[in-house]
Amino acid sequence: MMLETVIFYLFASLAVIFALVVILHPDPVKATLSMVITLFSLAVIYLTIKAPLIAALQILLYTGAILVLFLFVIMLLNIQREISLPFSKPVQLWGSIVSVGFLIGIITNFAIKIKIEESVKNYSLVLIAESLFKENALSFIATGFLLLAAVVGATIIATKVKRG
Amino acid sequence: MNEILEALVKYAAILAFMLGVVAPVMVWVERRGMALIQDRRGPNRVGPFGLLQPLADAFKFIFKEEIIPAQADKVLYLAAPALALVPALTTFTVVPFGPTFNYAGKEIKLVVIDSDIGALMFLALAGLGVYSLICAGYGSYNKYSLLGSLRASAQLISYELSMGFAILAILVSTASFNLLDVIDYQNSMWNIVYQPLGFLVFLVTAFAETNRVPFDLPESESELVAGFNTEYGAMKFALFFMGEYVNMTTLSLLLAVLYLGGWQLYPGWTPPEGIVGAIIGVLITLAKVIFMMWLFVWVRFTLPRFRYDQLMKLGWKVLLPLSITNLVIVTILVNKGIL
Repeated sequence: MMLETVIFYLFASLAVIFALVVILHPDPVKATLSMVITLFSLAVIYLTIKAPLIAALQILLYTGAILVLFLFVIMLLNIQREISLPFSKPVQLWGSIVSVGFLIGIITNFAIKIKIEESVKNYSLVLIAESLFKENALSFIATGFLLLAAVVGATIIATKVKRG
Repeated sequence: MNEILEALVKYAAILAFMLGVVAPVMVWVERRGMALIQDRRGPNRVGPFGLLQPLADAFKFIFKEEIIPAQADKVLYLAAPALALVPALTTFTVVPFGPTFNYAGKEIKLVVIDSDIGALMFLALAGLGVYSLICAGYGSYNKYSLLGSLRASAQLISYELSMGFAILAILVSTASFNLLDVIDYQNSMWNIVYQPLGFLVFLVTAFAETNRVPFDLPESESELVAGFNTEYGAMKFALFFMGEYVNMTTLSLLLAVLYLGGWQLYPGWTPPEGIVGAIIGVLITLAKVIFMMWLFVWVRFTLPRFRYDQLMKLGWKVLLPLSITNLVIVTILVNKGIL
C-alpha cells in the first residue's frame, strides 16, 4: 500500500509538471514530448488502481501512435517556435477560463461522487469485451463507421489540397 | 512483497543474460557471419576465433572521447540513447521463456510478469522505441539525423499496425491475451502451420521494428551518412547498438512463443515436470531464438535495402491487407469451429 502511494504521488506530480510544460514551452516538438511523459505517467497511475488494460491501451494508442503522428506532422510542417506570451491573445484567456470552469465542474460532480475502487472492482477482460461486443455492440459498430467516415473525409480534403 | 522480489530476481537474471551474453555474442556472430557470407575471414586477432573482439570493442567504446555537438539540444541528445533502452529493457518482461515448474512447493512461472494482457503490454512498450529515434534526430541539430528520425517515425507507425493485426489473429484463435495460453494452445499444432500468412507478416514487421536491413532506412548509410545516429559516438552509440540487439532477441523470443510452440520440441511434446524439465524447456526455447537471430543476421547480408517509397508501399499496400486478410480468415475459421 505504501509503495503504491509513493508511486502515485511521483507520477501524479510528473503528469502535472509536464502538462504545464506542454502549454508553456515555446518549442512545439518539446511540448509534444512533454505530453508523452504526461500520458505515460497517467498510464502508470491506471496501473496503480489495478486497471492494466486501460494503461496498456493508453500507452499503445496515445503515446505509441497518436503522439508519434503529432510529432511527425510538426516536424514535417516545420512549425516555428511560438514567441507570444501566455494570455497575450484574447482566445487564450477565454480558453483558459472555460477550461477552469470545466475542471471545477468535473471535480465537484464526478471525482467526489464516484469511488475508484467501485468502478474498477468488476474489472476483467471478459466483462469489458461483453460490454463492448454484446450490450453496446450497435454503438460500437456505429462509432467504427463514424471514424471510417472521418478518415474518408480527411483523405478527400487532403487530395483536393494536392490538386490545387 | 514476495512476488515483487521474485519478479525482480527473474528480471535481473534475464537482464544479465541479455546484456552479458546475448549482446556481445551477437556482435561476434554478426561480424563473423558477415565475413562468412562475404567470403572473408572477419575479426580473428583478439582471442581464439576472435571471440574476445566484443570485449575489445567495449573497451574502445568506453575510452573514446565523449563528443556533444555544440548546437545540439543537450537534454534530448543525451536522453535519446537512454530511451533506446526503454523498450529493450521492458518488453521481454511479458514474454515467457520456459515452462512452469514447482520448486519447494511453490509454482514458479518462467516469465517476469504473468499478465492477462501480456501481448497487449508487449505492443504498447515496443511502440515507445520510436521516441528514442525522434529525440536523437531532433536533438542532434543535423539534417541527416532529422531525416533519419522522420523516416523512423513514419516507418514504425506503418509497420506496427500490421504487426498488431498479425498478433491479433493469434489471440483470436487462442481466445486469450496471455502468452502462456498461446503456447498451451499450440499443443495440437504450431501456429506457423495454421497461420503461415500471419507468420510471414510478423517476420517482416519484426525486421522493420528493429530497423534492420532491408528496413534500416532510418540509418541508411548510403544516403543519410548514418541517419539518426550520425552525431553519436563512444558509449552513446554503443547504447543504441545494445538496444537493437536486445530488441532483436525479444522479437525472436516472441516469434518462438507465438508461432513455433515456445518450449515444445515438436507439436505436443512438452518437457517433463520439475526443474530438469524446465531447464530443457528453456534450452529448446533458446535454440529457436538462436535460429531466429541467425535469420536476422543472414537476411542482413543477403538482401539489399528497400527504397523509401517501396518501404511505404510494402507496409500499407501489401502487409496491411495481408494481415487483415489473415485476421478475417482466422476469425471465420474460429467461428466455424475449425481452428
